[in-house]
This record gives sequence, structure tokens and C-alpha cells, in this order.
Amino acid sequence: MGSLMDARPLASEPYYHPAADECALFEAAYAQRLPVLLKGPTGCGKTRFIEHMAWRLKRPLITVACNDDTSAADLTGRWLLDAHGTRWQDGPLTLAARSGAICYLDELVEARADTTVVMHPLTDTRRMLPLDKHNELVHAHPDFLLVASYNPGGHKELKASTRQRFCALAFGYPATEIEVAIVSHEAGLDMEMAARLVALGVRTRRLQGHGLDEGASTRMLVHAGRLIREGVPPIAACRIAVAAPLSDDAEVSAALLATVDASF
Amino acid sequence: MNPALSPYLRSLWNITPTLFDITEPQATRAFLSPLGLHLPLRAPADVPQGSWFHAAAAHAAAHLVFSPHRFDPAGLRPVTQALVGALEDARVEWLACRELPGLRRLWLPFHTVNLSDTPNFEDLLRRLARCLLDPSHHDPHPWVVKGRQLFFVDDAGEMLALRQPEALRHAASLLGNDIGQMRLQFNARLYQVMPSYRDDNSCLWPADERRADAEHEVASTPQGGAAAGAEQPVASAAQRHTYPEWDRLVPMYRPDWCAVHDAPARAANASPAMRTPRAMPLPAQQRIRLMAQPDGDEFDLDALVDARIALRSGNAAEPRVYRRTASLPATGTTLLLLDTSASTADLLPAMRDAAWRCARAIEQRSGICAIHSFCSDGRHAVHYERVKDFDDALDAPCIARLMGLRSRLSTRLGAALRHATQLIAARRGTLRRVLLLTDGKPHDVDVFDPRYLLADARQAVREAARRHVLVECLCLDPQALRSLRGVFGAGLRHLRADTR
Repeated sequence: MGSLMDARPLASEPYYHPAADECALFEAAYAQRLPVLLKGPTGCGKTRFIEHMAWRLKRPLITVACNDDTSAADLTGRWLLDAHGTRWQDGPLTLAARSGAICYLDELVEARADTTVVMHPLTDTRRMLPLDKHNELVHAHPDFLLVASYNPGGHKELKASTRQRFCALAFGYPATEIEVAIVSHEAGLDMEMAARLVALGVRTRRLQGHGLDEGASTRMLVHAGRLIREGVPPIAACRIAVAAPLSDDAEVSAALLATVDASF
Repeated sequence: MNPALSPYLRSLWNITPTLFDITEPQATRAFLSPLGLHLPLRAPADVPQGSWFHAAAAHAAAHLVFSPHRFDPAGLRPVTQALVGALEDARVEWLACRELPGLRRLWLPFHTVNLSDTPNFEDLLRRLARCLLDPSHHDPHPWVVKGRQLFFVDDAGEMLALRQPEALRHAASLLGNDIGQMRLQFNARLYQVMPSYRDDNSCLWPADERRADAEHEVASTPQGGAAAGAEQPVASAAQRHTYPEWDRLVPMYRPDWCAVHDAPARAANASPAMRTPRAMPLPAQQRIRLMAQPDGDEFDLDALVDARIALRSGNAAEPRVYRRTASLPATGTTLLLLDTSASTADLLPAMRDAAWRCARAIEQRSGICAIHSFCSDGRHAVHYERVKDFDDALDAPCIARLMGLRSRLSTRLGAALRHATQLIAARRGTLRRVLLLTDGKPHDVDVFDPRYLLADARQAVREAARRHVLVECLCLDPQALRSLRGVFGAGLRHLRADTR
């Protein structure tokens, strides 16, 4: 938790290739301090986008990865016991609200129900966070913004009372030319090899709903590209970075491996 | 038959031709029909076995993607028709390789050539096909060189010359004339497209010119569940599984004694009798409060006071001073197995209701649940129907199938339990359970010893336990509890049929 205290704006610009006008829209939402929900499949660039926007807006970014054990106390804070007695420790959400950072709740839908409710007062005009255990009412810093992400394909859904508090930016896999540019930049590959990787990614996405929950993400293609850059032959790189992680099903894996073989 | 071809073609080309098995055992050649892609049961003996099906499917798919044109056979000699086929094969493969260069590596091992000094027509055609697939390969034969020059614009083989069907037809005529001038024999009756992974090219010609494939059409059967549409009779979609049965007198297993026919259940027609089972309020998901935890939302005050006392008195403090709430562990995977024998006629509505409520409760607790049913007509016909599979939703079609269940025939319990165990054992997870809903003890028309099927069922429960599958029973008839106790032991419960 100590490192959270030092949350500062990012020093260098995280690479992000806009797909449309999402940067301008986010800036407008930030100007009005409207909470933003980033929707989209895994590995399509949601986290990179918020890092980029935090850098643009020169705000510190506090990221919380939610899981099904994330409770309200994990976000707001809790009492700790040390040698001198009990001591209150702010959670990441409280810290961000006090200091005026952007608080990014990654995979919000995974968190427990009480977690989503605790942030409701922060997301409307009240902009405050009641800490009942600490007997305190935290008024959010004027620069504070709440951003959450979630993957709509999963088995859980956000409650209407939560989703109606946010503006939502829908992310998808980038258009082919943009994705080629992204893979080429991130992996340090020439455009032709990046285009081959993206074509493979598009092929795996055709199996979505036919044995795969999701096809290869842009992140996955970047991983494969970085292995290729490291000197690994393209087929071997795509086998370990794309085909093998995507599925455990023998039939789908065989089809993916054959597709990788056919692609290079 | 290689089962992974369907996802393979979908990912390569985004096409989903229906795949058929050619059941004729001697057939070794694929062909395309308006119905879909027909593949033989096994690859030819003299080729790389592992990749033959992928090669054949990828080639046929290239036709589906790149061969929209039907050639007019009028005025074409048989040798020219064969050459049109060979050039079109090479053209679609070249176009496919441009997008997927790895396909060349898949197809090349099948192109074995005979470099004799006195080649016949088939030898030359093979050599030409080899050259056209792999432009870096050079063949000195003048006819092959001419074919290559007609096919490509440039020497390196990077530009295709035969872009239009007319150009391809013209090139085939030129090459066919040369074959005639070389006095090479061509036997149209015995000719087969080469190499063996390529289909018979009947798809290139109009339908009335196609080889009469009546016997193929009749003998071909669709593969897999995707091809079995809803309009097909359920019986044809049934998969047959055989299981041993325990003979208590011998005492030994009779191998492959019972045949279980596994099929999707039929939905009920919309009739006044059909109704949605009444929704019952469920208790909220159970949560328990865990005290003295190493981390949590709040202090556990008792533990905190103890820790402070320990610290004050100079002792080591117990760090577990928190309390938190947790949900009860996941419900695991459950297979609800309904006995729909004739004797359950009165109890079937209660059984449906119970099954639906169990399934709903399990799924609300993040469990995974399937509903299957069975009845039997002698050991060769144990009918096993899937009302809801593990991955199906508990939705209206599922309820319609549940309502479509009818009471009929007898109860061969052991075989049904073995099949259910087989299905659930293939699922991942630690807690796997088969929950049987029945009205009483098993019987079947070909068994006269009342204890025989009970002993077999008891054996099936033990086999399941060895595979870490728990078998439990909800019995709706209090009269049968006594005999079923010996089969299920503590896993037996009585369910009152009027529990609504």
C-alpha cells in the first residue's frame, strides 16, 4: 500500500493508437468529471488507453484489479493492528479520492456486490465516500475520476444501478490496418510480418462461439511478435503465444495449430 | 475421420461446408457436392497419413472460395477437360498460398514426381502440378516449361497469368494439343485427379455433366452434431455406446452387454398440457461469517482483545484478528438423471418440477447442471435422452424438452448410470455428482431375477465412486426405499411427490 502513496503522473507517454475519437470523448467526460466505463474483450487495449489518458491529463493513475474476493474494505480501507495499537489504512479508492488521482477498477464485474455499491456515492453529484468504519466522510478531490473496465462476454453482468452511473466507451479489436500498426510498433516488427500476425488473429476470432470464448487478442499477437523479434521462428512463436494459450480443447487446439501452420 | 476439420475451415476461410463421411470403404477421393464436402473414411495408403485430411479439406475449401465459375464442357476433349481441372487446381492453390503460405508446405509432400525419360501423360501432369505449386522448382521438360509459362506472367512465378476462365480454358486447349502431337495416350475412364488429396473436380462442371454419384449421395452420412438439423429424426442422431453389466450369480461382468442410445430429447408440441413449472422463491445464497481470519473487512473483537493482551504482556500476538464473510463453496457439477419408465406416469409432473427446481437452484449457486433421462426396452435398447446438456441454458426450449418427456418402457438402471458417469467424469472439477430421480426399483423385460438389476446398479455406483463421481438418489416412492438403500446407501433420500 505504501507505493500507492507515491502515485504520481506517468513520466513517459504510453503508446496508444486511437481507433476513433475515444480520446476526445474521454477528455470531455473528464472535464465534466463523469465516471467512465470501458467495455471490451480482453487484450483489446482498455488498460493501455487509460494509462495513455492519465498521462495526457497529467493525473496519477491508481489501478485496482478486482477479483471475486475483492471486498468493499479492500477498496475503502481497513483497520490494522501494529505494535502501538490499531491504525486506519486508506484503501486505493479512498486514496485516489483524497489525492485527486484517476482510480481505475479493472474487471469491476468480478468484484463482490458490496464493492460496487460502496462507490455509488462517488459516482453521482455527491462525489463523496462514506467510511463508516472510520467514522469519516471523504469529499472527493476536484481532480478525482473513477474509471472501471469490464468484459461483457463473461458470465457475470453489471447491475443496472451500477452501469447507469457511468458513461461507457465500447472497445473492440482495432480495424486491421490499425492493429497492424499497433503490433508492428509494440513488437518492433516490419509491417509485413505484423500483417501476417493480424491475419492469424482475425482467423482465430472466427472460432469465437465455435469452441473459443474469445479469439486471439491484440495483446496476444504482440506477444507472438515479440517472440519473433527475439529470433523465434514465426510458427513456433504463434504456437506458444497464440494457439496453446487459447484453448485446452483437443479439437480446437488441433484446428488452431493447423491454422498457424497454414499462415506462415 | 479427423474431427477438427470444421473449426479448421472456419478459421482459414470463414466457410462452414457441411462435412460428410463417404461410407463406402474403398473410396479414397474427396468430392464437393451442393450439399457440402464429402471425405472418405481413411486416407490413401501411400501418402503421409497425418496431414492428408487437412490437405484435402484445405484444397476443397480453396475451390469453394476461389472457384465460382462452372466450365462449359461443350467442345472440350477429355484430355483438355483433365487439363482444365489441373490448371484450376493449381490456380486456386496459388491464390490460397498467397494468403496462407503455410499451405504450400502442407500440399508439397503429396507431389511426388517420376522423372523418367519417357514420361506418359499422367507423369507429365504430375510434374506440371509440382512446378505450378512450387515455382522455385524447375523441370526441364519442354511441355512442363510451356505450361509454366502459360500459367505465370513472370519467371519467378509471382504473377498469375490465367486470371479469367477463358484464358484458363485456352491454355488447357494449347497444352492438350501438344499432348496429342506427342502421341501420348489419355484414358478418360481410368484418369484420376492427382495428387490424391485433390477432389475429383466434379464441382468445376455444370451439374448435369457430373459423375453420377448416386451411390455416394446415399452412402454419405453427415458428421457430428452440427449437420444434424432439428428437422432430422432424433433416432438418426442417436449415438450408440455399449457398457458391461454385472451378473450377480456368476459373479462377473458380461462385457458389452447393454447398448445405450444417446440422443437429444424431443421438445413438446405447444399443447394446453404444457406449462412452465411454477417458480419458487429460493433462499438467498448462503454466506458464512469466518472469525479469526488473517485478513478481512473488520476486526474480530475477541481476537483483537486477545492479541492486544498478548502484546501488552510481552508475548507474541496472534495475527489472525479479522473477520469476514464468505460464500459457501461452489456447488460443482451435477447431472440430474430422470427415470422415465412406464411406472412413473403418475409421478412425471412432480419429477419434472423437481428437476427444474433443482437445476435452477444449482445454477443460481454457480453450479453446472445437466438434465438427462432414460428408459429401456431390453439390454440392446437403453434410450438415453438429453433434456439439457451441461452448457445449455435453462431456457424455454429446454423447458419444452422437459415437458416433452413421456413415461414409457422399463428401467435398466445400471447401464444408464454407467453412461451418466461416463459423461460427467469427462467434465473438469472436483465435485461431480449424478442425482437420480426415480420411482422405485429397476426392472426390464428381459430380466426375471428381481435382484439382478439391483446388484448391477449397486456395482455401477461403486464404479462411479472409483472415478470420483458421487451417485445419489431421490426416490419418490416410499415402498422402494428399502431395496434402493442397498444400492445407494447414505446417498438415498425420499422425496414426497406432493412437495410443490
